[in-house]
Amino acid sequence: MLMQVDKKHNTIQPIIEPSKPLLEVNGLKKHFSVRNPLGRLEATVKAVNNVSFQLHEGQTYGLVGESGCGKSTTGRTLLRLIEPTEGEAIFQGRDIFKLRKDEFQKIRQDMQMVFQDPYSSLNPRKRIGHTLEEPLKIHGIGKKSERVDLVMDILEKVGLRMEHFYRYPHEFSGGQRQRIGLARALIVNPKLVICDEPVSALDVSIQSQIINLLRRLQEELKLTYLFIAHDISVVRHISDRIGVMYLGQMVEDAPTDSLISNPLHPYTQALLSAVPIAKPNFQRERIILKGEIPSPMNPPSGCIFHTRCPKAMKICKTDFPIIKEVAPDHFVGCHLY
Amino acid sequence: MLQQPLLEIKELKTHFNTERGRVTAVDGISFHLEEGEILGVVGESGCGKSVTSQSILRLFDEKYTVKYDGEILLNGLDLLKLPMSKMQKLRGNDVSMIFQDPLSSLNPVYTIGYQIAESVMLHQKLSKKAAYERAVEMLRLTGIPAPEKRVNDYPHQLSGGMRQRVMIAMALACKPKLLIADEPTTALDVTIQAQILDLIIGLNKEFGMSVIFITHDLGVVAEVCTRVVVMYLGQVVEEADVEELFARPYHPYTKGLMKSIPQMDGDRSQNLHVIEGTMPSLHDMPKGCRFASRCPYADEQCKEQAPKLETLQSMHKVRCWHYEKIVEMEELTYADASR
Repeated sequence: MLMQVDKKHNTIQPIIEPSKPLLEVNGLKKHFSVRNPLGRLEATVKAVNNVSFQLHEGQTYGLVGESGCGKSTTGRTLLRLIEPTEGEAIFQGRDIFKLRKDEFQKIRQDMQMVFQDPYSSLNPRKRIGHTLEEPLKIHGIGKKSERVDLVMDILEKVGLRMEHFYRYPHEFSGGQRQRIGLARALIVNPKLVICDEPVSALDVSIQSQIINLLRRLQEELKLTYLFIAHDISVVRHISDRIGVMYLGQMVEDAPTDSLISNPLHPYTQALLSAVPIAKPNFQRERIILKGEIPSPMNPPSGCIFHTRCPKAMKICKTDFPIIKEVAPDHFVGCHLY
Repeated sequence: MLQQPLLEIKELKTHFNTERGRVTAVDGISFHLEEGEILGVVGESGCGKSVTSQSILRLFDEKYTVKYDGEILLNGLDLLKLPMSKMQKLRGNDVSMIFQDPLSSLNPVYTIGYQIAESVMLHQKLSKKAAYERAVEMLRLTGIPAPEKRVNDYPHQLSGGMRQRVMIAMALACKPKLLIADEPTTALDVTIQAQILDLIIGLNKEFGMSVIFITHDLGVVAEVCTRVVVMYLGQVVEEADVEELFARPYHPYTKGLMKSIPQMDGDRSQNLHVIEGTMPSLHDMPKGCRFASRCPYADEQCKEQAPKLETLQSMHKVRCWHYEKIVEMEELTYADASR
């Protein structure tokens, strides 16, 4: 095994060998056109603009940012729930954006999604067992009798009981519904699960149950997660690597510990300093950003963050910053570096 | 003689008539609020924190759905005994409230200027012109850029953070003595949340305005509040100064809550602490301690007898049979671990 010296802690640590990425996203763009009632093009919303990142097998990639930054759109385009405008996503050696519908359908079994609001994503008129069987039917897995067994298995895995098979969504609490959402994603044995704000709608005590469950299942089933959320302390807890998005662009991308202990982009710094800490009289320098996120219909020129950046320079107004590797494996798009 | 607190709630009960029978969402709540204080009320959904705050303003339909018991004393005046016309004069003038979702609390067909000026004209009998001037002044105070122009905007023209500022401007327009903030930042992003929290703390310092801050977020509590009330299933389970509460939580529920939030400096390889189970339904209230079904320390006594809210030294209150035993046990395990 390769070793390297960690200068800060004066220890020798093994270098984790770079595994081949399971999913490689390059230059992903999703632009929505805004038309007036006569159908004339009025503006283009660049919801996702040139986003690149890699997901490694068995790891969790956290995507954070504030509402409207494009993190959910990114997740959805990867499953082609929304068709991307440009870019590529290489999954097991194939660009999934170029696949025909029937070809993509086969791959969809390996890529599943868990949504924020488990209530609106479950059919209220179907029994849970029925809902969970559906993905098996779609992907042609198992005979009818086997499917019931598979559903029972997955119910147990996510911490529900067999008798829940015959219940309806309204009979469950929020935490249980999220377990069902997770069961539905996992029943087809996926490799990649995209979790879009899976715990934001839940209470604190239920949230920790689901986070622990996600981690346990990841270990058991060797899952890869794309974990999209706005709560940074939750993302930090679960992710191996974090990408920070602002106004449709990736501004910083680094391993979790490096990003949290040494945030380089001014936006990441402000974001981290704004997280409320459950310690009274906790001393820290809080960076309060002025104003709000500009409209994505009319994004600022140059660096998208310069209108709110406390460290903005002249060049930021005119030139777009290129993403650079500033520290080992730590990527930032900012003119300061 | 001790100074009379601004607000004192004594044994408040709020009963609702529902299709499935009568439900007591708030069951014997008592707490007080001193002048110039920011009191946090914490709990998870369904614990009755919002019902408590809306009971203070008597916002529920008393004819059919709601019945109150107990007393809510504002400067010694029992609000529950006031006629509705007097209550009307008080709302927005002495006590105001901001809600979680600013879009559904603003009227979409009036300009924000009109909506702010309305309460001023109503309560303080100012002329229309003077009231609009006050509106502009309030918008400026809450940090809205170009308030002279913004005053003529409609709610849909503003972003979420701006709308919440408008709500605050509206709530503060009559310079109330008490502001009730019900999850004011839950729908907002963290950077905007930081701005709004700063604003509320600033207004509290500047005008000595008292605040009841209702939230589920312990991080926000630690940053904003001076004293905290923790609620579970319609009851207060613990009350203490914010520093005392975070340093020495006594109730197993408070302890559990604090341990289950992921910390920014916590050990990521460890699993998060979990409070097992879910909150029981209000229709099916446990006989003894309400937390017993989820409490790791619960025994027969907890299941049979409901504990009282006990006052310890330094005004720390806790509702638990075994808090002393639990502290001892924890000290023992701590000593074992460090040995």
